[in-house]
Amino acid sequence: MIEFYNVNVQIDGKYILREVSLRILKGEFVYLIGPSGAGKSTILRLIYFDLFPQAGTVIVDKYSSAKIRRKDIPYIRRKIGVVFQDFKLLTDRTVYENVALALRVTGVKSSEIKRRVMRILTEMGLSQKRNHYPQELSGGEQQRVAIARAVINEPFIVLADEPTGNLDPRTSLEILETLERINKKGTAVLMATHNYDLIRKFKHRTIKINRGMIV
Amino acid sequence: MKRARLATVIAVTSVSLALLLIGLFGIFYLNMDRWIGRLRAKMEIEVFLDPTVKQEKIDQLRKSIQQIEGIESVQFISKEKAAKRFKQEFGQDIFDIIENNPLPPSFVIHLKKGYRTYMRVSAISGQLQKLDAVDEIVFQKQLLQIVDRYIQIVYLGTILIGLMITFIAFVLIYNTIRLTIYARKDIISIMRLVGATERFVRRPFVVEGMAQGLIGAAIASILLFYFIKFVKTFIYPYLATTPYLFLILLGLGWLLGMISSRLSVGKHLQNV
Ligand SMILES: Nc1ncnc2c1ncn2[C@@H]1O[C@H](COP(=O)(O)OP(=O)(O)O)[C@@H](O)[C@H]1O
Ligand SMILES: [Mg+2]
Repeated sequence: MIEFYNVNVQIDGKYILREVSLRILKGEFVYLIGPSGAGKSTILRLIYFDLFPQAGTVIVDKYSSAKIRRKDIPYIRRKIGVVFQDFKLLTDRTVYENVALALRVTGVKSSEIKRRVMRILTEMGLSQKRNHYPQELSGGEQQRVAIARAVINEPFIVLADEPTGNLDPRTSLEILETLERINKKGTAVLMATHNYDLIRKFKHRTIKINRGMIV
Repeated sequence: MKRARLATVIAVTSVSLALLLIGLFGIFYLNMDRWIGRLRAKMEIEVFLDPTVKQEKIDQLRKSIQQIEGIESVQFISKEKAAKRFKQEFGQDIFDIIENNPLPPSFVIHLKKGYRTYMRVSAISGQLQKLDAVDEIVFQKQLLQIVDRYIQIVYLGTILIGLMITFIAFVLIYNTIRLTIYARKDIISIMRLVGATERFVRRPFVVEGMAQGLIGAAIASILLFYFIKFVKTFIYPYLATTPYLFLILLGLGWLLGMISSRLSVGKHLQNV
């Protein structure tokens, strides 16, 4: 489903990724672990076609980094959910609107938007907070809003870039449980982290990366 | 965001000012055009004939003149009629001064609209000159020359100033959209992340540009409406106006907003 073949990424002549090959299967849960600056975020950006390799090929679903056209990118992104360490929520919009945005951009009818957003917020335990603004929520709640936004389009994979980086250990575990639950329903999860302790709680295949190379 | 909001206010204000100026120029143009049109309509060519010309020659001449392109009407002024006209104009009988009527018979010619310019009148005058029994041709040469020359300067000046202020309004909308794009770079990147097409991302900015243009045009129209009302009530009741002017302003505002925001979006959206 996701395949990297000898991927090189260079920025200003410096190698960010070198000869990276990897594969993530349908419905799999995979950790991408490595120290800060190792190239984890770069790998995730390649998957949602925010970045293109200088050499090698990235294949996601039926799209290849070598052949994908600009106008195809929005459509593949609707099938990929992305979650970040800093949540990337819009501070001037309510929880409801933040989640609904992902459906609005795809042209879903507003009656259906309402139904689907309410369902996902309930699932995430956030329905009481739907009219709150992100800054009125705890870090863990904000991250769950971000996860709700990531999964509302029913993606085949969720990419989580250090989703627990800003959270305390207990909240981190909750977020991991949430991702776990999403994975149980068939969505693949690729989680980048440098927290070795955390990933011991739920055992999954782990890809180790250091200085742009798989180890 | 504050900077973008301030820029919006400035853009809308400048669009309305620009369009108001264009509207005022429009009214100025309409009235100027009407005044000059009247001036031109009054213009006549006098063709003085040989005083000894025979009646059948006159009939023949009239036919020849009528065949010239651009002639609207030809009126024959006999010696007697000329004397009457003289009396009307100068309040004195010509026969009081001289015994024999010295006034030659003549044709008074009016030209069709569009032929009342110096160039055309001169050409027609040349053709008339070639006719038999024509002695002299008189028309208001200098007045026509002045009108033709200055009207072009005025029209050109009006167009140039209009273009200049339109350009300023254009730049201001362009810049406002640029600021708005940077102010909303967060939502833009999130929309892209969740799969918005570029068209979808672009649309609100273009709509906003068009709205700025239209709101500016609406304000300009209202101001112009009251300006016209004021002038008609207190200064000059015969002011020439047309409702099309308001339509033109709205259309211009809309076009201005659309073009400048499209260009701005095309240039700046890729940078965020
Ligand atoms: N846009 C960029 N310009 C220059 N260097 C970059 C850029 N993005 C990432 N890098 C560099 O690439 C390396 C890997 O970055 P990243 O993938 O963000 O690492 P990680 O997510 O594992 O911390 C780092 O050394 C970082 O400084
Ligand atoms: Mg990173």
